[in-house]
Amino acid sequence: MSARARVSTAYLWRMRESPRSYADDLRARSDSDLARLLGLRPDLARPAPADVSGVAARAATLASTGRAVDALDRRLLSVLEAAVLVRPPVTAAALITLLGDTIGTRELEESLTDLWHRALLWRDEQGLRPVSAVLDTLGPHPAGLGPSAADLGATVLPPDVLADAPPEVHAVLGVLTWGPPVVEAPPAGARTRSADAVRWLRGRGALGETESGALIVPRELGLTLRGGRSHPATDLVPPSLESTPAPGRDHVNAVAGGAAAELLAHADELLAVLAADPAPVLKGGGLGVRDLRSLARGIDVGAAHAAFLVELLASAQLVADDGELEPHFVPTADYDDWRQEPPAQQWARLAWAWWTSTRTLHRLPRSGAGTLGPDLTWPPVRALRQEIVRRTGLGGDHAPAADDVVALLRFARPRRLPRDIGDLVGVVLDEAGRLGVTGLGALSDAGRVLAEASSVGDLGDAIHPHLPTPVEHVILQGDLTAVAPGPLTGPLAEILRLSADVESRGGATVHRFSPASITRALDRGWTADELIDALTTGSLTPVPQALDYLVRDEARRHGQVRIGAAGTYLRTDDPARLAELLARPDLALLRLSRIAPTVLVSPVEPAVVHEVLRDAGVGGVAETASGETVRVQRRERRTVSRPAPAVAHTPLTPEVTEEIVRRLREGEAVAASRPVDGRAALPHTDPTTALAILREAAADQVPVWIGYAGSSGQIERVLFHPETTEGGRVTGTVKGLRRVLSIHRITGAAPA
Amino acid sequence: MPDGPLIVQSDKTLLLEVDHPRADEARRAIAPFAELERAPEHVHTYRLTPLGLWNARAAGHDAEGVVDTLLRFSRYAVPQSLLVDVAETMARYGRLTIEAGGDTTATTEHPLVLRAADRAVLEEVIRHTKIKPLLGARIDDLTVAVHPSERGHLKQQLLAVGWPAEDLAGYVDGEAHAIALDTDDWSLRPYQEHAVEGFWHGGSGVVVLPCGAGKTLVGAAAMARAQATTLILVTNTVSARQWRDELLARTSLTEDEIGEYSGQRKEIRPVTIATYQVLTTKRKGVYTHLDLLDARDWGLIVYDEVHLLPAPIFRMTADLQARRRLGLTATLVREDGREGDVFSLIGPKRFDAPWKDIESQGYIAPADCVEVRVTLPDAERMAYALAEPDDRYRLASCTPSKLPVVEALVERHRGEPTLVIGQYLDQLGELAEALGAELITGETPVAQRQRLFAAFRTGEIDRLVVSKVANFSIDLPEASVAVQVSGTFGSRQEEAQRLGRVLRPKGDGRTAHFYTVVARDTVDADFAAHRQRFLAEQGYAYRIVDADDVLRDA
Repeated sequence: MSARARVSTAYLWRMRESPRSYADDLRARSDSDLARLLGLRPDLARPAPADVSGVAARAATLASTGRAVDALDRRLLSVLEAAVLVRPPVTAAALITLLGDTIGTRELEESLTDLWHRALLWRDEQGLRPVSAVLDTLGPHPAGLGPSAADLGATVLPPDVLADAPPEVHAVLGVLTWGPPVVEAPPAGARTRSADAVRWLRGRGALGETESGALIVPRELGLTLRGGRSHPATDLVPPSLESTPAPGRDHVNAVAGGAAAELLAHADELLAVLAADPAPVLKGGGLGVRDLRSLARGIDVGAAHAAFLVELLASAQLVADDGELEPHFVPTADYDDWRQEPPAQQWARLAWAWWTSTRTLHRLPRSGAGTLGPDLTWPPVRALRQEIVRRTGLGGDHAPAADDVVALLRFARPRRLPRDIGDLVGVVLDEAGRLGVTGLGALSDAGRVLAEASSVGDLGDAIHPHLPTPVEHVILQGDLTAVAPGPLTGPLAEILRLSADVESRGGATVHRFSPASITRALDRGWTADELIDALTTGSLTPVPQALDYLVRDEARRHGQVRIGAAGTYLRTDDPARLAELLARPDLALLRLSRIAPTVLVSPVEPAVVHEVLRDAGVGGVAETASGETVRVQRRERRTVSRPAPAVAHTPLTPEVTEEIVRRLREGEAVAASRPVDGRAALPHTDPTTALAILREAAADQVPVWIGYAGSSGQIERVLFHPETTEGGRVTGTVKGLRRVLSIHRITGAAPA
Repeated sequence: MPDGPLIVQSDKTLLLEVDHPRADEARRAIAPFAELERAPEHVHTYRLTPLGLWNARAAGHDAEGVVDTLLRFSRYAVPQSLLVDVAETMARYGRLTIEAGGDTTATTEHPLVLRAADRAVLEEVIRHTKIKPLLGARIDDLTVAVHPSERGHLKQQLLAVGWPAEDLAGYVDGEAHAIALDTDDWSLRPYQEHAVEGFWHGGSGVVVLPCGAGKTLVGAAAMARAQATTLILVTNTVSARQWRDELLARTSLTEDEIGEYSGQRKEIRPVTIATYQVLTTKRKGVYTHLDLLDARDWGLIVYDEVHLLPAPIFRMTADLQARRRLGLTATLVREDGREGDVFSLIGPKRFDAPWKDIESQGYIAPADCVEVRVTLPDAERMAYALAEPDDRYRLASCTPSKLPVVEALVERHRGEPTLVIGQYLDQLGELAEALGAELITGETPVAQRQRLFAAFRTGEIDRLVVSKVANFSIDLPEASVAVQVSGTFGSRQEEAQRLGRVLRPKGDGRTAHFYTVVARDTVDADFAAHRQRFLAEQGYAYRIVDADDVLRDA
């Protein structure tokens, strides 16, 4: 990369800053400016550099510069691109001619200062100039403009000649206007219109030629085509959300609250379904399409929504792989605690899990294949999601559509958007709507709190006022339904969950009683009277006769068949013989009991019973397993939550950066106290910095002091003249002898 | 808004709290676009369906109005996705129209064209494999010719792909024939007038009225509006005779003007009443009576009991799209799920009035629904347990232990006109004998049937045992008690019809009684649960009592 870049950017105003001069600029900055730099470019602060020279070396690397350029918004990027096009020093006045008057001089000055703060521009005696790594980062054709005509040996066409050019020339130039400015030369003798146009242009010497033989539009011609401007005006002004609809605040919050309540209801149901019927984990991880669909059916939603819910619950560690031999997704032990929390707290946990999740559904196929699978983890999504939500909120009460948000993002971070950003924004906004982070497309009050939150903290309080008021009663009807006209809380919720099935969800919930659901409640030990009493207490209306009858009728039938557990049975056709066995004291240890005239059971296992009977001289023949009773007790399964190793991220707070700056200054003081002959120990530099220093020294053909760990482990200190760096090795001379050193063995490097 | 009577659920149901002060206002506002699904005592459930929304579009309501109504009456915030969905669904109706050609030079040679409001929709549908063959030449970007014979099929297919077309191609007038309502001693009820108006403005479509609400009169009034020869399609011969009697009594039509086209008679007159059965009779694989449809230049075709319309009639109807069509029914619910065909071939719903509303206006009788559960004796329970699944329903519903219960019930209502309705002839025979009542089955000759009905009507006899032939379209004005002993596996439709038997308004305004006798712990009781749910959803008080209680009271 660097070889190509070096050749093709040769014509740019490259004045290799000596590391010292760049470092001098940094060193001369005030403490607060340095702290600001570290804040703007966190990669310079971690790991903490030893001194300002280290910062400068690191900041001048291609990697760090690339990150810094990626962080620019479109306006700053445009200014930076324009800055590499003018002859240094870079001044606002020089840029104004390129950028036009879309932004004023003052804003331009501010942008330049900002770029200086980011150490992408640096200042020497003459003024501002770009860091050389910026040229490499921006590539051979910054702003899509080619080299100047003089560099290419081309002529600058006078405007009237260009104006009189045949139409096909204008057509070809039209395509090249906004770059890239390079075009493949048509084969000789080609008779197409574009070939004619190229011939016309070449005939007048208007095009340059690259080393590979492609044709290149000179900068002057490019600028003429653009009307003298290097960038379109739209690159300099952020898009506005003013024209998007702005629903009323109360309405937004009400819709968001409704969505949040519904999400909780669905989540709760989904967990209950998984608790009763865990979903198997596929071999490659994740949930099968069929299982996802059956989950979706279980709670009556589409597969896409089910995928979102189950991913959300997994992110919140309410659902996890139980790690058994045949693994299943089951609720975690946290689920039991979560259920006990008030709805607002439940929401807070889910919302925070979503906010910080590194999983994304925007690449999930329609079928839902891969849900909970390993492929959905994509760490950049966390920052993107947060940015999308924050940008959505920038419009105040406005409700930007996905396209508006994409436009904002394209302006805010033009260089580092994933290709499918449109899909991602669509998915994130959709999820935000389902969570109640937005309502009617505008950021809700709870969403605003979330966007500013640094921990789950008091998120619950943010949603609480907007959740629908809970109700503690239902309306019982003759068609065997119970309608809860709001989110149901209190003991009745549990009773209905047990004794009825949910038929319709939303602001209200419709529960339907059926023989099966009543039986379920009876199985859990409720009696008909208790159930009817509970319903009577919780109902605004009298219990309909049909419901009363249903409950009593089921209770009458319930328990007609008895089930129990036994270890062993003993059967014979002779009741008298069984009576004898029951009466024998030496068999008491078997705890025999009679369940029918001809059947005894014992909780002891058959092998033992057999042995005891044989010892007692009774004998008996063991039967095959086909008649064995089976334990039917069913236990809901739980597994421990295994939090995914959190990607720890401590933000660079002003305190932290100040602390680093303070240490830097100390490092400076140490460096300054270093004897001039360089006999003092070299500071320990990290390999990136060492490499940068060596590279710069090689380019400038100056020696550096390095500490080198020899094969014996001793650190030797040598004055090294580096020549080339390649593949982790650096070649150069020491005292006139050629040596090849491994970078990783260089413990420290400092300009001599 | 926070205190509205309506709760909009995300599954597209609307819950209406009936006791809310604004409930009536809300009900009127949502009725045009939401289907009433259940109407139990406290909270009614409406559902938003594509068909319902398109019906509303056809009636001139727009998405803004629907959304505004939902927002206005909703207690909680309406889910955004639902509003979007409503708007999108409604926007689909009318993007395509079927129009008569000839109004512009480009279309003169094409009698019928399909016109799209935007090109994308047209491009989408004309590429559809099932639609392509129904279309003719492309006329311009937005218009394509339609084979006139495919008007109905095209509408069916367009509905199936989710782009229902609005049919603006108009209707032929048909052969004129003077028909007037003879309103000397009676007049149309307000809702009947609304129904006729709604139908006439829509051109074609379905009027939904509960049993006993006078659908025949709506048909007669529509004929009087059309002033044209009319073909009336009914379910069976008895029903045909009743239509004829009603038309003779309520309109200016004379016997010579009304023809019957049935198994027995084949008369074609200006007003002809034909049965579905005769039209769908096949001989050697062909429908032999289809000529009837072209026998005259009919100006109006009336379909009685649209929800029972057999599939062949749908196919024939597809070819009759140029004639005005009026569908009459108590329910748009079809057990075969062909509601879409009713929508596309007969027309959208033009009028609807829930049972309860008409009942509260006093036009139909209030009803008391009681399910009586009998316990099978042990021997029968054992027989039931061992029976093949296919025989179980018959075994359970025909249990002799129902007999004393029915006797007790009939005795309780001695003197009141009472119907005993059942499915199995053996059982009905025993019941008729035990009760000393006449039995009417499918075998009973029409003449005797009519004689018995007449006697029942005049009060000469107060009890009748009828098989399922009585399910449809017989008119027994004074039946106030019905006892159901067995049925067609808990069919909702049948239940509606049977309940309809006793819902005709009584002279003295007394309550109608509707008993269902079922065998406990059997499939009979399971089916009864379906019926119970249906009746409760229709808003009728429903009680369950034990047979012992009935017998003790007797």
